Amino acid sequence: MIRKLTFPLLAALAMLAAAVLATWPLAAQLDSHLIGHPFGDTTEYLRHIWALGQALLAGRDPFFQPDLLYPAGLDGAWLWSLPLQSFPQVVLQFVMPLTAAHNLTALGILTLNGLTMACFVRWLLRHEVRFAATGRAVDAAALLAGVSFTIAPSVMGQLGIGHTGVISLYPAVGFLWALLRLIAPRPRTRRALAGEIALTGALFAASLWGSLTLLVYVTAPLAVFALIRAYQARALLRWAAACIVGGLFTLPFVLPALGAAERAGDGFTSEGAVTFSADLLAVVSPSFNNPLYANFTYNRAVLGIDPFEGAAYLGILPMLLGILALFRVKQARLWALMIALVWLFSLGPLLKVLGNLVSVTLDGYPGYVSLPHALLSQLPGLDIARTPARFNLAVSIGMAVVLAYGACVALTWLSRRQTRLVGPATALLLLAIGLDLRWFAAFPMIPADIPLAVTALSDHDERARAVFNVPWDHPLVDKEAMYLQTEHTLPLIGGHIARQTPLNPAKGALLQGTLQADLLHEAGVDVIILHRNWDDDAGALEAALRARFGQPYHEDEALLIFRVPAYSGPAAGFVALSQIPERLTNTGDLYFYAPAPGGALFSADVRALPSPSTLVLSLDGVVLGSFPINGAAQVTLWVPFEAGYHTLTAALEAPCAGAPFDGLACAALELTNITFAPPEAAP
Amino acid sequence: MSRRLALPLGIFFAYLVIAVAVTWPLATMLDSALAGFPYGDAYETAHHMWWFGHALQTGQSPFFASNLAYPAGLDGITLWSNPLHFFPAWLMTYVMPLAVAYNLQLLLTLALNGLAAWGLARWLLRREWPNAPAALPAFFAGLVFMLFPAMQGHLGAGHAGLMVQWPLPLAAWALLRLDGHRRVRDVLLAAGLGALVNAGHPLQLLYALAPLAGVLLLAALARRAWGTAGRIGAASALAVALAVVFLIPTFSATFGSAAYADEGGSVRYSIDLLAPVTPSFFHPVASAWEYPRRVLGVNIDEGAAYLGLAAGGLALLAMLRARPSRVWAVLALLAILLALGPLLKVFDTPVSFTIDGYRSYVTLPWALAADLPGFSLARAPGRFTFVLALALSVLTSYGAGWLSVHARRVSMVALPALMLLTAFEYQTFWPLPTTTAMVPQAIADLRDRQDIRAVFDIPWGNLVTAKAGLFLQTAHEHNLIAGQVTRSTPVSPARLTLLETHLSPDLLRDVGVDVVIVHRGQDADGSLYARALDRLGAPAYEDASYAVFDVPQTSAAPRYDTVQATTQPAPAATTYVYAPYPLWVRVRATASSADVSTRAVRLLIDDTPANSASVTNETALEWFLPLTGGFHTLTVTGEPACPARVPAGQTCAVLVSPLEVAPGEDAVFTDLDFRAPGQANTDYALTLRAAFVPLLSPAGNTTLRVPLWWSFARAITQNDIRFVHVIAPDGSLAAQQDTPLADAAAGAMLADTALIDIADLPPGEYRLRVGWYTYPEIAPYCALDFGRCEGDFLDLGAVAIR
Repeated sequence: MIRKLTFPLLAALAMLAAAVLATWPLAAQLDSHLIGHPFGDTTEYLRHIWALGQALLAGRDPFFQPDLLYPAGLDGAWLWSLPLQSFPQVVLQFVMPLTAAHNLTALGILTLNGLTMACFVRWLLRHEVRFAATGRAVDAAALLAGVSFTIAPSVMGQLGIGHTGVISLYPAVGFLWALLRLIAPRPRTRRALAGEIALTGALFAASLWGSLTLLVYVTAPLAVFALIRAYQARALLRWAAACIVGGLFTLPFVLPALGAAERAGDGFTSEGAVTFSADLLAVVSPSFNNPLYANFTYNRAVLGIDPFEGAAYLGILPMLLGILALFRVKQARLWALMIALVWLFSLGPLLKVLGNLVSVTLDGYPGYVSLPHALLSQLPGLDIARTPARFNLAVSIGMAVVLAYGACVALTWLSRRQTRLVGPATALLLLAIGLDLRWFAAFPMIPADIPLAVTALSDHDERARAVFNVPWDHPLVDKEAMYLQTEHTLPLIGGHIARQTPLNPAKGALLQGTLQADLLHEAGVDVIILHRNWDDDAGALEAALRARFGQPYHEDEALLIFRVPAYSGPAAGFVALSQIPERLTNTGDLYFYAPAPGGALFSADVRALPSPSTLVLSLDGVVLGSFPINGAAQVTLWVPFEAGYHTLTAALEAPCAGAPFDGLACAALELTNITFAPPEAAP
Repeated sequence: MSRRLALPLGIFFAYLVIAVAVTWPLATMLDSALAGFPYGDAYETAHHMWWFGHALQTGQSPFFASNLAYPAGLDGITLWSNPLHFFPAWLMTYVMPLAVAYNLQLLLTLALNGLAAWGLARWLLRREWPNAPAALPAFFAGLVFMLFPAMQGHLGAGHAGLMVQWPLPLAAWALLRLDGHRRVRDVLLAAGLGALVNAGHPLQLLYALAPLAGVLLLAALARRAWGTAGRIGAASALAVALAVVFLIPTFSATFGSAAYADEGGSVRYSIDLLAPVTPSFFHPVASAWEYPRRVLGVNIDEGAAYLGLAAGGLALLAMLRARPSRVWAVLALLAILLALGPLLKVFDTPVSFTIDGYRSYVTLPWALAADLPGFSLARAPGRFTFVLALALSVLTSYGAGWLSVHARRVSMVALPALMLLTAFEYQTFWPLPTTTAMVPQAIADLRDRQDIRAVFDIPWGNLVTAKAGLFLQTAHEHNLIAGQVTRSTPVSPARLTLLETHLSPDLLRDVGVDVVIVHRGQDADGSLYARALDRLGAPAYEDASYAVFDVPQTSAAPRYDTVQATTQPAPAATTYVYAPYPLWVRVRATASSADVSTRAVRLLIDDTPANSASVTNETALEWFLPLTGGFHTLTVTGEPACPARVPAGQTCAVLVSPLEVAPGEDAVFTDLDFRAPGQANTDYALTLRAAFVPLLSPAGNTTLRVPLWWSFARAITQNDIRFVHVIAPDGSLAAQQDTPLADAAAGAMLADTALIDIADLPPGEYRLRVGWYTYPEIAPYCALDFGRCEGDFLDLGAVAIR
């Protein structure tokens, strides 16, 4: 028993050490800093973990978030589908500070990833390789695979933006092990077979507990890979049975989340498939944060704007060992094929090289180089997977295996000549891989402290109904706002469960754009927090807040907190705020608040610049009218509405998206003299 | 020997009968019509066949078309590169009319295509099933290959050279033989037949041999048959080397001419995704359907690729049952993939999609190759369907062969029936489109006139006119002002447009045009005819198709003339200019940027960049240029140029108003060289080609303009400073302009205008000096006189400032 546990224990220690080193200085700042870059999702996750804990303590439904999107609250069922993202921390926070709970969980995930990979690879090498590998070589190769997977750049990149759920890959590795074991032709009893199928199905479901999108990025590619290997009818049947059982196990977690996503509408689906796809050269681009490669220039061009999602570096030694495996181990070739195909999908729908989309003009047709992902992303259900670069998580699993095959070949060769050298050689390889793959010289961290004034908000201001964080539409402001909530505990006007706030943009824009007392009062805003890092460059919002509310309640480098004075005047009337640019190339919005149902007349002088275009006007996404403009014209439209906040959108029928191709410019409409008012308010 | 030949001869005649049947009624009009649509290449091909025979008869080089592009003649080297395009027809013209020779060559080629595919299939089937009857399956293969819709589509387009596909099965046979035959002579045979594939069309090496040899090579490598792979590789390389003997002169001629190299069309001339399942809309049955017209509507010549139910079914059977057929299935799939071209088309429209706000088209593997040097000449990826025809014919033979082996009795009945079905399914035209080969006697009689230097067929820009003009030449035998060897005429559009637009007798006479033929079918509104009547008088001959005008004698000398090719603001504005002698012209235009950004425009003289300028909002542009005597094309275009297809939501970044080109003073081309500091004594860096020095400064103008025209032997940068100095009578520097010009590459030319402030200069006679120096070293360039350094500047002459 002890002998059986020796390798896992040693491997766990090695993986923990690798995780600590790769995330340094995390271990030294466990309770003072949060793992992840300020641009990441750490603060958002922390808030959800805290809220789940608070709900459990108070005996409330943890999956309804009444303190977000005040006063309606938000459906938090999505969090139920990602237990590995927050549940361990929810439990741990009862015995340690929230910050330490989250950081320790991150280290734990990395360790488990590596340990699972090491054990899987050890099993694979022992059961699959037809050449006579020595036990030492197998153990050493498994250790190398585990460490390389623990610190894989694609994993580190995700952790860098706080995606602790997405990097929870150990169940996926376990699923692969179970699936390969299941389809392997060997005698077993019916009961044993049923048990194996149930285990595989359970691991299938567990592989999605970190993030549902892992189904597309990791679980499905691994399952397809196993399917290709299951070339016998019986194996195919077992494969199908495991996937069906896995699907059934998944349903209890997925269905509530899908329901929440359906109810949230656009809140969960946002674009980004091109932005968050990997560059063609990403697999050979080490981090510019790694001191060894800090002076390279091409890796800055490749990863510059996205060293997190775009991280896909495979490493010099892993690639060399992989090539060795390709020549010497037949099984490695199928893994290599899987890696190549999945990597192709990681490139996203359009080819990028050195950070730029590759544009081509073929026979006069300007366009980009489309890739297979363009087809995949059009399939129903898969459009939720908006970050093709995450296919590199599956690539890193494949690379770890191929590396192990290659290392096993090399170390077996060595052990047959100089057995004593296997240990030092393994250590050298570990060191080389660690130095090569290192993604951050110092792992990005966020100070966990929150100003006392924020904490005191709930204590000193008993009448505060909700907090409005501005600029409201900046995603990082919304995340920071949610983290501040863990201290002030007051409801938020904004907030979100995932990706972006579902706050009605008309409400957010009018509250922030007008700062009208009646509107703020009606919305329940008693405190406004300006996040100065994300204020406009000219400081216009800060100036407006100071002019409107005078001296802030609290002021520091990052935050300005204003108390909204009590209001007892008349109810808000019709208010409109146009943010339609004079030169319209895409879309522009006019936000308005109507206290009662009615209608208003939209009018604008419109001129086509220079080619004819069609202006489309829509109210809350419903098209009201189209106006072909050839030259100049006055556009008028009667807009009927219900009471509440609304968005009137002016858009070109064919909007100019992305940068125009060479030799081209955006077609545009010039909109001037825009008026929008109900009859009684018309001038 | 005669016994061994009897079977192939019999098969050949059987295929010939089939060829006659499917091209009906061609056989009934062999001497009065040419196979193919009037808009096809039949006239052009017939002309070249005639030219070969005529040139040899009259002791001229058949590879230099001295009777085209009068008076310069045209490099006809492309005629050298594809001998089987015109042979044996040109030989037959000695003993039969041109039309008969042309049509007979096509019919014989069709039959030969069938015969070659039959031979390959028979050989393959005997290897697979040595004791099985191979007659019907092999015949089936030949039938599929010769009648494949791509073949018939090109027949309709009059692509006689592309019809020569019989070397392809022979090359396949020779390459496959290398699996067991290891002698050098086997490799040489394969190389020879491989090179022969290219003898009908210079790009068959790419369209046919490359995919065939590539797949066979990969198949050998996959089998680890290293020796076979090596021999296939060697034979292919040798075939390319042999073909290059023919191709090198072609490439050097074609890359030098925009008429060949800039044609484009790789999307238009690729097949539709649905083409493999789309029969011809001329088919007696399918003509009633709608979708074939949507798929093949404008591209039946190059886009036909219908696999057919019978052939497709047998191919599927082969893939499932005959293992050796799978390599041919791979070849067929590869051919389809390549033939789809660079962008996926459905219903003849490129499929577009928008992801993340980026609108694009679905790019296909051919897009990787489409813009590579050499590959860019291959503007019709649809022609990969010839390899598809071969692969399908072999697959069909395997399917039919398997049927013969496993269901012998059924196959005896089924195979002939399936062959009939295939011939019916593949029928791409019924009846075959033909073009009249009759030339009016009055035009033929022009041959006897000795006073005609050249004939001008108008409208010259119409391709049908251009090709018909070539065919008329086979009768009148006089030089043509335009004319082409392939694709479109390389004669300057300025020359042809100015001649056609004004039909001015003095200009026509000056360039040697004594007869103008108006092709009335291409003059729909009769405006050309009316203009010809007005300028040239009554026609010497006219009928519904042609009007022949003699250009009146005149003693007047042609004068400066311009024609604006664009009359509205456009992404590129062009004006054609005729300069009777070297002169300076002033070019004016207004360019407007479509948005608030600063854009760039470029000035081109005869397609050569001459200068550029920035454009913000609306910008007035002005350049001074020296023109040599003759015809010139002046263009101002956005830089980078606006693509031909503008996606929705976008517009051309720059619009340029029509160019105003006004004549100025006479120009003198001086060619005075400058040597850069540190440059070798035998070398020079740049040349002042021409300069204009006003004798008197313009009255009331405080700026002196000095137009200069430079050419650069080596690149210059912003650190090279051009100066123009105004020297006072006492030798002191009175005014100057020292400025870097735009970065220019070696070989570039630049229209430069020095602007010197003379507001403060007292009246008097000053001298102008021009030169260069480097910055920051202030090291002067050396002005050369017969290679000798004469000083740091060049004296341009005197100017009187008032």
